[in-house]
Parts: sequence; structure tokens; C-alpha cells
Amino acid sequence: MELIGLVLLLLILPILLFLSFRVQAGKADELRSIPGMEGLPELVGRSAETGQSLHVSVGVAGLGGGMTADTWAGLTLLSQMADEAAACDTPLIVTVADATVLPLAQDIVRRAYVRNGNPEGYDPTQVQLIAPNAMAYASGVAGILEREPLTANVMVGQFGDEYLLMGETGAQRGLRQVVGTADPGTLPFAYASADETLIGEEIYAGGAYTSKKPIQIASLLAEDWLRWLVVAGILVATALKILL
Amino acid sequence: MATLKRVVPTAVAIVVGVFVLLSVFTSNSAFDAIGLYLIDTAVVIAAFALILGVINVLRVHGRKIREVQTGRFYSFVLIAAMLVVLAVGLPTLPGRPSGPSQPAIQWIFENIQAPIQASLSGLLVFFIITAAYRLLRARNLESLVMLIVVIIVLLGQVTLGLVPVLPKLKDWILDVPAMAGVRGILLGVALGAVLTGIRLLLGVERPYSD
Repeated sequence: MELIGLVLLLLILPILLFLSFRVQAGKADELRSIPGMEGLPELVGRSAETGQSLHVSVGVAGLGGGMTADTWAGLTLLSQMADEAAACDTPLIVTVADATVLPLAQDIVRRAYVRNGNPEGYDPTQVQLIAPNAMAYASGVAGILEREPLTANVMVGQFGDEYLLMGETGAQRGLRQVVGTADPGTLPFAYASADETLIGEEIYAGGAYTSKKPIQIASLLAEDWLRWLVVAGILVATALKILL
Repeated sequence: MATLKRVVPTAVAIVVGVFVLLSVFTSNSAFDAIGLYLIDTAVVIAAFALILGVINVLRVHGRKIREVQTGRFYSFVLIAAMLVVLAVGLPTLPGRPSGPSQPAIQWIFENIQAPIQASLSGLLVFFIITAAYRLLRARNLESLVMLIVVIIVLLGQVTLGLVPVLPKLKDWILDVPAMAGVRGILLGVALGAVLTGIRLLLGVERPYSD
């Protein structure tokens, strides 16, 4: 199993470098459109206009476990949104469920205010630890969505069934919602209650869409290449099974 | 100084990531020991993060009470509950289990937290109904397809043997197109997670530093 992982890693690195050079040379394809990702700056702008807060959740998982990549995806998007929020002085409410995510989320928001020349604008209580238990976290966030004056709700990370408590509260209150998760069991709920849904691996694309660095774009293109490789592998294996 | 602030965290993250990866991919005892040490260190740091979490909860909810904000009563209940649990759970009594194993803490979890969580889980049924209603208002082609599939699957579930073809159709929908879709999403997620890991290892994606 470790060998397969190592081979995959060694296969990806040259593909990534090759595609990065192609992106730098302007020979690569454009990134496909992800409406949920492209609509995020508009949400920040709307919050700035109304003066009401924007809620961001990075999921119920922490750092260091099996769902670290999902939490990381949420934090990457938070980094982008915190920058835009600090630039136009939009109040941001960030909720986390795991204590390991709290210092990182606080640091992301603080640095965004410092970068935008407004270090006094940062309030450490903007980032709130709700509860390490998923259901308790969901009920805490549902309370915030119910009581606080908000314009939008952005939730990207790991969510389970408890998502419905938050998603439905936001939908019933008429908040504009962007939800992204990699859990196939939660996606139908997200699709039902959110205005825009980031499906599966789309949540990992945040960095590439915002920073537009060649290596970031190359990593998304590499993902597409690898997906085609997997599809080809499945087709070849199926054909061999039928023929042999 | 600014460069140092940017470079040092990234360098530490890359080096730690590479060592942990090497300990996974090789059976070298030195790499194993380094990998284990780094993971143990991460666990200790995570424990300190919990203390920061408690301080954060006290600050956020203390402020709500102090500034007489909406929902301050809930904040008061939360802080009071937290302090009671800490006061009951922290002291070590001779000959009695301490911490979460203490009988008083066990009683609180079994008689207060567990029923509240069960009630919230029960509440999910009503949320599922409202979500399904919103989803099944055929607003576009995707919703229409979903509506038709849901009706077939529901009828296949409760046909009572009157229409024998419906359970077979339901099984086919769940086993073939639905399963194919789920596997497609999972494959994409796996590739996305691997590439996120590589971006982290290369220091390309680093929300932890400027």
C-alpha cells in the first residue's frame, strides 16, 4: 500500500512540474468555472454594503486527523475571504469546532487585517470555538445564524448529517449560502439548502482560484490529468475482465 | 525580519512534512523514530490548543454577558455549565476515578448531554422534510430528475409486493448510477486531498504564514 502511495507521489511531481511550466508559458487551458468559488467576493461586497456580518465555518473536523485536507480547504478559503473582508471592513464571524483549528483561524484573520493596514480592526472574538462535538457545534452555529445580523453563510470543510441543523436554519432565514463538502452523504443536504454548492474535490480548488499562481493552477490541471488516467485504468481493467 | 517570518514557518512545515512522509514510506528505524516524535509533538501542541479554546469560549461568551447582547442567557448557561463540569471533574479524590471517568461527570454526560444530543438528532427528521420539500420543488432539470428518482426509490421501498418491478428498479438505481456517482466523487476527493498534501509539502499553499 505504501509503495502505491510512493509511486503515485512520484508520478504526480513530474506531471505537476511539467504543467507548471506550461501554465507559465501560457499554453495551459483555462480553469473551468466554479460558480460557488467565483461568487465569494460578491458575498463579502454585499456584507460590506449592508454592514452586516458574514459567517464562515471551516467544518467540524480538526487538523491532524483523517479529514485534515477538508479543514485545510476551509482555512484556505477563509484566508481569501478574510483578506477581502479586511480590505472593505466587513465584519466576519468565524466558527470552528476543533481547538486545533482555533489558533490557525485566528492567525489567518489577524494577518489579513495587518496586511490591509488595519491591525486594530482585528477582534480575537471574531473567531469562536463552538464545541468539539459535531451536533453541539451545529446547534451553536444554528443559534448564531438565527440571532446574529448576517447577510451570508459560507461553510466549507467536513460536515455530516448535523449540517442540516445549520443549513436549514440559514435557508429558512433567507441567507445566501455557499456550502462545500467532500462527504457524499452530506452533499444532497447541501444541494437542498445552499444557493451554491462546492461538490467533492471542488473545495480544494480555493487557493488556485484566488492566488492564480502557476503551480496552484498546475495542481488542478494535474488533478484532471490523473482523473483521466484513473478513468482509462478503469476502462482497460473492465475490457480485460470481459475479454480474458 | 519579514522574510524570516515568511520563510521559517514554511521551512519548518516542509521539513516536518517530509520527515513524516519518509517515516510512512520507508521502514528505516531512524525515520520511524523521527516521525513518531514529530507526531507526538503535534499531539502535545494540540492539547495546549484546547486551553486556548477554553479561554476563547470564556472571552466570547463573557463579552456577550458583559455587553448585554442578544442570547446572553445562553452564554451564561454555557459558562456556568463549563465551570461546574470543571469544578466537579478536576479534583482528584483518593480511591476514585478522576476526569471524565468520575461518576459525577459520567452522570452529567449520561443524563444531560446524551438526552440533549438525542433530541437534536430527532429534530433532524423535521429538517430533512423541509430540505426535501425545498429540493423537490422542480426548479430546474436537475431537481426534476431528482424528484423522479426519489419517487421511484420511495415507491420501490413501500410497494408491498404489488408492483414487483419497482423494488428491482430501486435496487438498480442505488447500485448502479448512485454508486457510480458516489465513487466518482470519492475518487475526485482522494486525488484532490493528495494534491492538497503536495501543495502543502511544496510550501505553495500556506495559510499559516504570509
